[in-house]
Amino acid sequence: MSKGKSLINSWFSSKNWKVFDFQEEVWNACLDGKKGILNAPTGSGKTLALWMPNLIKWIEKHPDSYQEKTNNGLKVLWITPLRALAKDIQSALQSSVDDMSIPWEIGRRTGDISQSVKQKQNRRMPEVLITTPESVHILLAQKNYARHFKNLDAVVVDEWHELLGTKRGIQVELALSKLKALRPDISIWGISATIGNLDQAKDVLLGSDINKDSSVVIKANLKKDIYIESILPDEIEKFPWSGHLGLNLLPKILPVIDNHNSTLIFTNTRAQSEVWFQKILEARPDLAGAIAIHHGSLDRKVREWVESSLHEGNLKAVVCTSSLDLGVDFSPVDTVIQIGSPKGVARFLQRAGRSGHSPGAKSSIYFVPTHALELIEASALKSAVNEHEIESREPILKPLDVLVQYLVTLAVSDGFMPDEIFNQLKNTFAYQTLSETEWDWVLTFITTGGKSLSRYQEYSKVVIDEEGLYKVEDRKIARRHRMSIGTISSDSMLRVKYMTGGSLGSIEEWFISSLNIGDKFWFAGRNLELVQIKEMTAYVKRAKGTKSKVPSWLGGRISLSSNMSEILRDKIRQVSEGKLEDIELKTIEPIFEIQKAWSTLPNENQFVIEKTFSNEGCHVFFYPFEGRYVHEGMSTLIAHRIAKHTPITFSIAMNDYGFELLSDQDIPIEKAINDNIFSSKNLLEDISKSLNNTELAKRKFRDISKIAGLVFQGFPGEQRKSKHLQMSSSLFFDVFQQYEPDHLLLQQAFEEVLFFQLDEIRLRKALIKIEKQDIVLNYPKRFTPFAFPIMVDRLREKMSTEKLIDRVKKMQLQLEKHT
Amino acid sequence: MLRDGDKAIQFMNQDFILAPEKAIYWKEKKALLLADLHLGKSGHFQKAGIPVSSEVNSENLSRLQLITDHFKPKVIYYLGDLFHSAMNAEWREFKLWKNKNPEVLMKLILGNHDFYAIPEYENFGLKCFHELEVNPFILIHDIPDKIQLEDKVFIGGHIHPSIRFKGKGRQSLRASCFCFSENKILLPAFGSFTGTHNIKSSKKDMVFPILEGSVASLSNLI
Repeated sequence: MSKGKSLINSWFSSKNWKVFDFQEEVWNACLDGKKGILNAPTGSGKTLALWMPNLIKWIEKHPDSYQEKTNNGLKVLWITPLRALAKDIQSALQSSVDDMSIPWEIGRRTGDISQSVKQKQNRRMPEVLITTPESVHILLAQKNYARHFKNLDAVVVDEWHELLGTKRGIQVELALSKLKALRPDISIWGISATIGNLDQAKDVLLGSDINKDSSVVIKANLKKDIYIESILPDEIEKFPWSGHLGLNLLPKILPVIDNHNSTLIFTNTRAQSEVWFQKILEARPDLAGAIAIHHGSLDRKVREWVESSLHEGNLKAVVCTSSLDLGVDFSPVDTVIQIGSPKGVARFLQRAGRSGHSPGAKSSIYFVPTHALELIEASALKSAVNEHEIESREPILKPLDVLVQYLVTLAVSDGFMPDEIFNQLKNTFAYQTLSETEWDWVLTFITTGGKSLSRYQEYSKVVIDEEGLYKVEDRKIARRHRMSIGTISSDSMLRVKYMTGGSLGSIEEWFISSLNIGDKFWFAGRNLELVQIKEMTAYVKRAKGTKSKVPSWLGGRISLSSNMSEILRDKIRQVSEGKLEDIELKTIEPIFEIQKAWSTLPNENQFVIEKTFSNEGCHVFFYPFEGRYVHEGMSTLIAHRIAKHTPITFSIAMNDYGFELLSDQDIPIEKAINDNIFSSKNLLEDISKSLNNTELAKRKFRDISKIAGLVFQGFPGEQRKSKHLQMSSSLFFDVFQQYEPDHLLLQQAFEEVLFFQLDEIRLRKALIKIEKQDIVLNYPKRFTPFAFPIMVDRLREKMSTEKLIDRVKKMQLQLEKHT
Repeated sequence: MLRDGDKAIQFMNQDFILAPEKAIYWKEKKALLLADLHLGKSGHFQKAGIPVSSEVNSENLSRLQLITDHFKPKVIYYLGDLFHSAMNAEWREFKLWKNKNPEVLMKLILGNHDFYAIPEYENFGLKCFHELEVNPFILIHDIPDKIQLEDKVFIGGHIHPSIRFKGKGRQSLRASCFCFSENKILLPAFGSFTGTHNIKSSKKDMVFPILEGSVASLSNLI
């Protein structure tokens, strides 16, 4: 055995740890110069699997001086999606080198690291830097950035499954393309939880210039037992048909908390977590101090306190959101409660896995339905976990907004030569199909603003010098760009602070602006009163009383994964055949009976449509059970096809089971069915046309315009000055639509809607299926159990082919309450 | 003088024409009233490296030319926020436009955005006022909340007013509007791509939304 390996082995023994087979496998692969993906869950020893090869190599290279050599430059870059994880990794790595007396420094560089530490790093990089995708790009925006990387040997991308399929993942791809150009022999590894497309995950990470022979996917194959139980209502007849809070079942989860050491309670939104926290305390005042709340809007200090208390086993329960999906190992946690649908198998498993961390321990998770139909999902989740059907993460292709941002980043630092970068881009997975035309457009966009120069006389962002180097010369533009690097876009936020000092977190500006001074609201698990708003800070004091508002955050609504919806449809089929083996399905049998009595419970060959009149107008419901995203596309398509022949205005709502068209006038669905509105012919054309009439693309454009640097959030503490540069993304959208409709960023918005949100392929498949089914049109007198949860949804899409003036004639003036 | 889409109304014994181009023509004074043009917005953004097409600016000016040609006013009152920010190349376009219309007197009531440019305005001979009394009205950019002078009626802009309609079938929509109330007249923002703000109005107010190129009267609609 080599010296390096034997030293590492004895370090493991000194800790009383055993080297797992998969760790050894990863070491050998790394030492053979292979790249790839390690598929292993949190708490399995995955960090050490990818860390040790670096030390082994170091010892092998300097067998006599490995304990002496200092100032070795940056050797390993460790990229993590969550800065909260960075600290833990840092201390794990640091203690291993300290034990072996290797004088390496393990540093962190994330958004919350102080400027002085960053400057120290700029002068002398630590041997290992743990950082986030955004922070890597900020490094690339530094003058002479290549100096940092001249000794770089390895890049490890942690939790790659979280980044894959997101624009932050694209940032990782772009950063890697640059680092590969600087250091061609660099070792690249990703760590991923189980997803359906691990091989593709590897290809995306390594890029299109990947050498298939020298890349591997190594699976830890650690079997974990998971206990799943649904919390069932005692009387399903009294259980609500709609809703998302799920508070009815609160009394039933209290014993779960009591019977366990420490419980994580996952909710789907921040507002929901605030409400649950408050209601648990109301029901069990004795838990005060023993339970906490954790979500992304809370102050970092508050979150860190909760995390370390969990870690130390000081908390009985924490109500949280996806903010605790990832992160440090909370070994005291022995059970998880999921409130409401997690929408996907992978997320459900991820959350379940937050409990029972110690080796050999079982994970346990309780599912709390928030309305009756969610019990079908509970039963579907159980089946999926048993059959091990886990979703894929689809990679994003060619997002131009991220590319624009990256190019300006390079132009801000040392400038770039287009040909060189184009070749590097062609080696990424995301941009391998980037065409010359698209490339030219992007270059034109950052240099002259658009194709017609005369429209952008005063525009200058990136300039081209005599040598053909693209660079940013204006220092203000450079500064603004550095400030706004990052693809996670958020609304303008206000800090929430006590009058006496002490920060609680931040809330979206629009929520605070809906409050008046003296109004009360719940935040961070506290009842607060708004005292004043000053310089982007909302000052509050503690309040009493019960009439407080709960901020509702505008989160994107996640769709049921295609995997889950398939199992869901299968469950509905089982029910229609009378097979009620699962306890969850048995429990909601009375609801199915009502659906059957008032309308139809569809079997495999039936597609049910329901038409119901109320004083709001005419409602038509459709139930494809394909998940929200597909319904988004299908509903706009159907609405468009009906409205093509009759001037009509629709308000459209949907959930994961179906969708509703609502109009003030009779909807001619009978004729539409005869006209074959579910045809998959001309799908793309009809969808594209219908998109123009809705807000979908405009909403997508919000993120795109921020990433591409059109919408500027402002410098901290300088809000007032930058106000003049703020224009809402929807105004940009209108300007572009009017003056430059072929603008590629605009087209990107439409494409993102088509391929990610509407998922054209799934939509087409769904339509083909419906074409083969028998359409059952019912006229229920009341809203059926299937219809009700859709009908009450307030978040609606609109589509109209009526004249504005005709519409207004039927409407009433809505007088706003405040100016 | 009245075109399709224009709306004539009488208020305080004065005759007004509300134009869908978002301007008011005041017959007695042969005056054109405009608020919140926000000229130069595109250039201002371009300088900062944000590509907003200059056509936004030229569209504003050609719309201005259109109504000037039609109403042939003797005077134009700009009710503030004539320019979006510091002077830029689009200022030249405005000067060219002004020189092309020498017979029209132009006066500017200063808005919050205009303070950047007071010297340039004055050099150019555009007379600036904080507020201006033109009997029986007071022209001002931002009409104060609590109006002290009971007997005076204000004309202003600043808030970019719009109103919201709600209907059956959970429909709603919004439109920029003119608003005439007991003691004030509010103008919509003339500049395109400037955003709007929903206003509070009471039953006594007369609100005129601009719908698909014509000024509608609420009383005919509802």
